[in-house]
Amino acid sequence: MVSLTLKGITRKFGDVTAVDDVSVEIAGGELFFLLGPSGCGKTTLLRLIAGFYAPDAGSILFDDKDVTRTPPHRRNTGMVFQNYALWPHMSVRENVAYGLVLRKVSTSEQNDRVSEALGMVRMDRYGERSPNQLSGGQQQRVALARALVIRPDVVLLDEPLSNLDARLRLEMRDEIRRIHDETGTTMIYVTHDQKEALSMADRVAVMDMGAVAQTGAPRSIYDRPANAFVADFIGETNFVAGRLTRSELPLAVETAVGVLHSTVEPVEELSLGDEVVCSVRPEAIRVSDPDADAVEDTAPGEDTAAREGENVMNGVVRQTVYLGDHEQYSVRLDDGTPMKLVDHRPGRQLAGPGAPVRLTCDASQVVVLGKPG
Amino acid sequence: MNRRPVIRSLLQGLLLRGLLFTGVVFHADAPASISAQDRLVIVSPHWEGIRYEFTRGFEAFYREETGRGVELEWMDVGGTSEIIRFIKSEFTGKPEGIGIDMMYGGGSDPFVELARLGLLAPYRLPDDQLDGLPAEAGGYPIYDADYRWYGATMAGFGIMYNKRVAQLVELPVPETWEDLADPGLYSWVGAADPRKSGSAHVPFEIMLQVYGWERGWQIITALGANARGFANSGSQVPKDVTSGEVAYGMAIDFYAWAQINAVGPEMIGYTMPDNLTILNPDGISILKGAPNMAVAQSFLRYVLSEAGQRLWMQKPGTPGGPEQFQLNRFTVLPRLYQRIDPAHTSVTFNPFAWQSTFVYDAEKGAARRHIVDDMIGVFVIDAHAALQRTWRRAMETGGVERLLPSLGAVPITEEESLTLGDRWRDQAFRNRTLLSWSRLAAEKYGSGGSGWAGARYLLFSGSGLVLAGMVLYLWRLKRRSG
Amino acid sequence: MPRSRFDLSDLTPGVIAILGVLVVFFGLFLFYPILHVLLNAFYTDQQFSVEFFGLMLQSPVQQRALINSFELGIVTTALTTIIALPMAVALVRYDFIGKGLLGGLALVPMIMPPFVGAIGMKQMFARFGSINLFLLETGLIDAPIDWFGGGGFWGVVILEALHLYPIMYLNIAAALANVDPSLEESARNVGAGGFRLFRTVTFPLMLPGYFAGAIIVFIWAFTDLGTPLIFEFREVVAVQIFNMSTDVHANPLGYALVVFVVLVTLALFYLSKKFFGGRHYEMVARGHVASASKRATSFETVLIWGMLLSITGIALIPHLSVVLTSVTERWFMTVLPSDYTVAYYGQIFAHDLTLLSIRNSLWLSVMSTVIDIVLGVAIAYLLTRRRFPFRDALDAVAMLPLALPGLVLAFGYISGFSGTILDVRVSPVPLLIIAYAVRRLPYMVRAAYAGFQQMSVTLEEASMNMGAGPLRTLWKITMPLVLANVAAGAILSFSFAMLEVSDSLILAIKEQYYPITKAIYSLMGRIIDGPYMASAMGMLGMILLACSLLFTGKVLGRRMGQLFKV
Repeated sequence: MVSLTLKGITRKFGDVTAVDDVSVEIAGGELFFLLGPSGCGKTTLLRLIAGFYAPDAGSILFDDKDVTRTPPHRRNTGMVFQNYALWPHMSVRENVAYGLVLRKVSTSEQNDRVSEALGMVRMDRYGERSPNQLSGGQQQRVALARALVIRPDVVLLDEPLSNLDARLRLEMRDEIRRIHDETGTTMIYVTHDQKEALSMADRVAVMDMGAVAQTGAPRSIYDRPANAFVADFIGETNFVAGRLTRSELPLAVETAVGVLHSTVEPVEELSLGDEVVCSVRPEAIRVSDPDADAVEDTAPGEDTAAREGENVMNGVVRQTVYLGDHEQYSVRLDDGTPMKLVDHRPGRQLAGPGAPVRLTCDASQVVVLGKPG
Repeated sequence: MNRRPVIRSLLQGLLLRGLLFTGVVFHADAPASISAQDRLVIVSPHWEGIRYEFTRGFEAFYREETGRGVELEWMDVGGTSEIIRFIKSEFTGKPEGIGIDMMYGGGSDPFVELARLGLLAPYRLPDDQLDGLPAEAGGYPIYDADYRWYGATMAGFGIMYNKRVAQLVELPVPETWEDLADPGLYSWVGAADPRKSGSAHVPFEIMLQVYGWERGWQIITALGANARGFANSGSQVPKDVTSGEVAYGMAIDFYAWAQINAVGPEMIGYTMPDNLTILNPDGISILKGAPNMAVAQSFLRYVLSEAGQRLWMQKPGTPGGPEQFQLNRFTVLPRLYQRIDPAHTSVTFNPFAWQSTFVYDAEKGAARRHIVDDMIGVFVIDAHAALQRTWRRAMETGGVERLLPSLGAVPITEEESLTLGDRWRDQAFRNRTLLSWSRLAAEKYGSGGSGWAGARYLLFSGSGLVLAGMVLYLWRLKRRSG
Repeated sequence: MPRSRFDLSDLTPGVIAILGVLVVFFGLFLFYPILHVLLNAFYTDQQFSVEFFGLMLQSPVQQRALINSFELGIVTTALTTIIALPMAVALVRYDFIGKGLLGGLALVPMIMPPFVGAIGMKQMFARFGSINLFLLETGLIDAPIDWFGGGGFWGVVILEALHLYPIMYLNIAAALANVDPSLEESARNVGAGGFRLFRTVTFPLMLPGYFAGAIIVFIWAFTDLGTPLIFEFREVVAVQIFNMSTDVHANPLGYALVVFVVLVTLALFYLSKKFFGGRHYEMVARGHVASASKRATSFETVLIWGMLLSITGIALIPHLSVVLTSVTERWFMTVLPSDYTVAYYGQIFAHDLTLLSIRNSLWLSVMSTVIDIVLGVAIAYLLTRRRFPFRDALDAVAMLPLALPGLVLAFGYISGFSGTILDVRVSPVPLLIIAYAVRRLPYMVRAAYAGFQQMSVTLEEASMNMGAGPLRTLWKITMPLVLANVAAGAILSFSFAMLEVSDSLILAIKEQYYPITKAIYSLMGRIIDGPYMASAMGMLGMILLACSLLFTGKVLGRRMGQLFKV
């Protein structure tokens, strides 16, 4: 179980800075995700770790060993490529055994370890096939076996599931997680799919424009995004723009649809009067008929938010989508801001298109973020 | 999996064979260096048969003369012009001698040229041999006055013609060079480029001497307009005559005789225009700094001896004749024409008995040789397409005779042609002059179109369009994807 | 996304070493001899003169020659494309009876033995050659058609196209075979079919391979000497150069023309790189093979057979006449020889020269091909996988031999290495091998280049990642995967080395070193039976070459099969 330390890594391609002063620590045995939209530099970072690129600045450490200038074939990483990169002129077994042959492992041990690795990815029956004869998912498993069989210090996965169909993707997520748990190897996993990251990762680094926007466990990133980019990229969210009118907890933000309160400590530093946005997740919003709600929940004219820790916004339903286990609503607030929300008890239809609705959400579900540049 | 052993054994096989080859190829040198003093290195454009017969003959001759064996090493660096260039370039690096003893064959001009450059070693044959050798034939020296080169054999120049073709397309039998200028023979005459073939030069120089400078150029121009093309080697012309591509060709005697032998005298004819041709020696000489001087001199004696000369004339297997190959060439020893049994030879013609009123001015010919070659090159060969167009037009309108004086006009006089030779060695001057001549030629023949037939034009623009379209298409693709 | 390229290892000691070797090789065996010849030529009156360039450009003859050569290149390239494209598509994408035979046959026109090919052409197409005589006898015409005369340009174009289309075919077929069929399938999926599919998907994908072929064909046609000489079409650059460099009074203007042609070629090459370079169509890792071929319907089979047979049939007429000539006892103005004999073959085998020259040719060609493979793959690898200064220059230099007349190179070798250990007088073997290797290197480089370009870099990265160093990766992963392309290049290099004329004639100065071409040339010199003996020898050379092609095909097995679909 090798830990990784990246210190101030910068890599430029011509005028473009692909990775900009990235520092990350990855603990041994961690399943660490690099998450970001395409072009954010996550694959470049992975390839820097694999040794295919040299950084312009900064250093890479495996445990205490500086590998910044070590060529890729001496780094003992196992990489799973996006296109799997299985060698078409070798059989599945030969593909997997390749790294062992290079490590001069004895033939019998080779056989054992190849079988073990293929067994682990459940491909033991396909050893003699040619990669051309395998489906995408099978190729993906072989690529994984090939990376694992050499018992690498760290396994690098470059969008390994992006070429698979949705069902296979779900299946493989579990598989990879299982294999990670079984082997206990440090893994770095690059993806642009936040669901993959959230469901599998021990920790996630969200990258944007070459820099790490936020690092942390999936839950903390989702609940407490560091900035508007992360909030927007991880899961779905609604933004309501406003100005900060109170900088101590609970925060108060004056918006066009009223004052919103938040009890979440902001990650960024904010000061009074700053232009900010309030991020509210769709599932945090409750919806009710304005009149019925008035009777049911609160008395009119009262400062409900201050009293009950709840924010209230009014709007009109634009569209509803029924999805069986839940129903999605598109609402337009009085000032025109679009909001999405999800109702998980779709047994009852709350309101059809055109109906006025009242939205409420708990102050603990509102995250105040600096307005994105 | 089962492919592997095959590949491996193949590789092993290749490697093994490779080693074997190296061994053989590199060891092939070894025997040559065993008896260094009895070796002779000859550079020669002569064909295999000549080499074979003279090697065999000389080995016997040398054994008789010295009691020792000798090994002949024939070097081949291509045709005559390559040999000359090779020799010159070797001498620039090693002015004292280039490790080659002799040059054998290639006509007479290369030897004149090498003698002028001082790259030949003179050797005077013993008097008894020299006495039997005439100094000249028809005005052309048979050996150098300073004994730097000797004619080993001779070549005659004449007109070879395909009787079948002439009959099929109803063409006359030619008798003189002038006949080849008859517009009726348009496109049926074969010729070679005198800039590249030493033998091709001679008939043109003869024409200039026989008919005079002005009329000579008219005939050359007309003959050139009639010519099908200009081969790179004199030996191509007889082949073209035989294949029926042309009906007439200017050819050296032995090439023509070989073709006549092959297909029969009823099919192919050969004529040496009476009083209008010469016999040109085909030389041999010792090169300066020859490492095996004594052997080289011995070889020279042998080649010009009766035994050596019989090889040219006699049929294979006849007493004193060659063993395998019939060489069919003239001896330079007049007495042999009587001595050889007529049954033992196919050479029926005795050039020394041949009475020709025409005396070739060898000095004049040598002085302007380069000039004449280049003039033919520029005015006839390079401008051939334009010349032919003009010629055809004249034939259609019937104004050939009227047109000829202007078509055949050349920018320099005979006197100038003789003095220009010295300046010709300045390549810049030469090329400047050639440029002005080629402009003159374009003027003379009219630049009327550069031969772009309509259809060809269409095809070209079509192809160009397609390619341009492709470029555009790719560029768009590239911009889109990049 | 940045281009995925190695770059940690850019300019590693290994790369520097390879570059060093290349610089030494090209310096010693390309630039030094050429400069040697050029400087000598332009050094007149004790001073260096550049006047020849001006004279050359002003000369109406040279101007016309340049235009003609350019036209010739364009038209020939277009024509070979038209011939080779449907051929390659048919052979790569369809299965039909006799496919192997036709695929093999399609390559035969490439192996036209020199000199004797011209004999064959004349025998057939002379004004009283077989074809005209046949037409006259059957009464189809009443005056002989002038094949060579009227159609100087046309004749050259057609013959060059018929001679060169196998190069184009090989390249297109290799490119097509490497196009991932799933890409085409997905295109078909979204509704692109037929020509549209070809235009929008297949064609762009096979472009690198196509251009590898097209550049070679263009430059070949632009600088081809043999074909225009057969037709006595003098107004092209190659013939002008040949004329001046074989001029008994050596004209330096020819060398100025050489420099010019080299510059033109480099410029064209550079332009084509500018336009088409930087396009990477990497095959998807799993899509390397299994290019989908489908069974041809019987109608399609007939169509394909008809097309292929008629093309190769026409292209093989000269070969056929060489066969006939080699068994001719007497053939004078008749459609077919009037008497036949196999005596020449007997004589050939009795001749010392024959076996010697075959052995020499095989040995020289194999060695030069090995050098070509090593250098070609190294160059292509550097060009496609590494970034280093003057990369474009290396690319251009590797292409340069295409534009150099063999004659000039050979003279450069002879004079440049005179008196050194490489002196041809010591042994011409090293220089012959090197001359062949240098002259044929461009085929290898282009073929390997196309292979590398079509191969996904991640396959190599995966190997490095598994712990294989660059060399082992090259050997275990890269080479096997570009083998088809390398094999195609090697076949071209080998075949043309076997057929190499000008340098063989000049460099192989003693009989014991004669390669087949010089043996043929020497036999041609035999006054009486020259053409027949030479044809017999030429046949032998052709058979030998055809056998080595087949042999290579057999040994490479399946992989070659992907290429030729045998």
